[in-house]
Amino acid sequence: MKTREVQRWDRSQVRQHQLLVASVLLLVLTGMPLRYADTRPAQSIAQSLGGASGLALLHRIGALGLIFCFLWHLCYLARRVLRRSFRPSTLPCLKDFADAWHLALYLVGLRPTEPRYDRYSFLEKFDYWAATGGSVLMITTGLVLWFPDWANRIVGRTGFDLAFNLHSLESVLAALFLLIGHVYHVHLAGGLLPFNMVWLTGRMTEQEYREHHPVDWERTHSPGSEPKDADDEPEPLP
Amino acid sequence: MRRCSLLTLALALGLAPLAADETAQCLTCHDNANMALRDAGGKVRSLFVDPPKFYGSVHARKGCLACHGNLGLGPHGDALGKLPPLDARYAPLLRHLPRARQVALANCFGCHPTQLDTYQGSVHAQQVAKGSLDAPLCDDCHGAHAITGKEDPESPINPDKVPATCASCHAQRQVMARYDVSTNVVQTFESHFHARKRMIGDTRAAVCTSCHGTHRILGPKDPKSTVNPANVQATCAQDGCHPGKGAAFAASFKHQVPSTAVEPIVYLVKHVHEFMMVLVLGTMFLHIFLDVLRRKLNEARAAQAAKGGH
Repeated sequence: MKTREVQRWDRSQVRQHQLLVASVLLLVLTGMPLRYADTRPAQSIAQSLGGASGLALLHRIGALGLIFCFLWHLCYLARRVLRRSFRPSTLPCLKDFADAWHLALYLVGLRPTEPRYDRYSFLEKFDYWAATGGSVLMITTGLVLWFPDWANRIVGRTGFDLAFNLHSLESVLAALFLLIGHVYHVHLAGGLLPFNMVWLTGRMTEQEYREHHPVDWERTHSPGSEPKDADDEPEPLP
Repeated sequence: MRRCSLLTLALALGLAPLAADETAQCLTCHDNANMALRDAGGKVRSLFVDPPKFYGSVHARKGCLACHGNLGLGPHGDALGKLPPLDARYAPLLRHLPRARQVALANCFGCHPTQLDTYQGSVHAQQVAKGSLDAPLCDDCHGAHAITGKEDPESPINPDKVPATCASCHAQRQVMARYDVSTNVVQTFESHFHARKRMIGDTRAAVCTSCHGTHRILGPKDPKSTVNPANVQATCAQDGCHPGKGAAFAASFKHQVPSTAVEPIVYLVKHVHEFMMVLVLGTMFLHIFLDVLRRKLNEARAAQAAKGGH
């Protein structure tokens, strides 16, 4: 019997996420050697990617990918709003804070069960907004460093130094958070090994979905539930 | 006939290979790495000359006596009394230095008058003339017995080695404090693009001397300095590095570390971000740790329940 699956993301969302993954990995790979230039691994990565100029070029390609991804997502959201299919499922709400507290209590053994999540758990919302905020920060400060002549005229030396420091610091925070935290809790945790298939197919098994997002499942599948949203019936993937 | 052949012999053996011969002679003793003596001040001074290094240096063919010969330094014939008077062109520069240093530098200046003239205008020369024993003279940057050109990767004036050469003085707090020069210059250079790009193999990236010059280095307040605010734009544009960039761009590179006094906003944001980073990553690792622990506990309990059930 074929496992029943739930379409969690539509095709565009899957593609957006894949481009984001590719861009971020490329940016981390080509950015970190400059930050940690005094280390052996940095020097050998740089050497194999065409030296300082090779890194610079690849980093700018990654940057264009990230900028494109960001604009793509904005257009996607705008389209959903215009088609009246936008659902504020990623917006933070009071339940998220309650869920966070609930999870903390559960993890230290003070509550018997995990919080029951809606379409996106508070952790997933945090990742979404951290990625959005991080992208805005990295794109803005990155553009300042990419076009230092213009940027210095506009934001001055203090603005430039601010951009330099923030770009460098935020890169480490973002890289560690995405590569460890995000990968752990959306992919590895909860028995989703080897990984959550959503990022490749947009689909999750029905069993996993009911387990991880019971509130959303019940809302959309209980008798007499409200009509299904567009992203419950997305365009199928090829 | 006999005298004639002796003369020929002397010419043949004497003139061309003289320098090499005499160097070999000196090195029969001075190639001993432990050779040293205690000077008048009680300091132990090495008298060792590393033969491969000397023979590899630009002055190998000059031989020892080109610098040490007429002066008869050391115990070779009560040298100090025989020193010639210093040339008037550099006497004022050297008048505060110990005798041995005067002799060494007089040797450099004797053959390199152009470099002397250039150096005379520099902030380093100004300090030497005022009596500084810290400010660098020729040998402080170029070395003594092992001087090589900047193409030699081991040379202290090779671009990759220049930052370390400058840092040997400019990173020393006590020394720099005497001249009111900040030691931030080394730290800020190393943390900025130029140094990092060079570390990952960009041979065009600027080092200290690219912007500050070499023999005629001047402080930023001197109107003739390459790093004076009025000249920085031209300095950035030189050698095709950053042509056509504006004054704001040129003014943006400063050897300053953000602090409560300098760019306080950068200082503040940096620290707030660092705090956030510790907070976010700390919570993240704590979450992962507790999550793994909880899962293991749950599994263990489930296994035990299954066992007990049967």
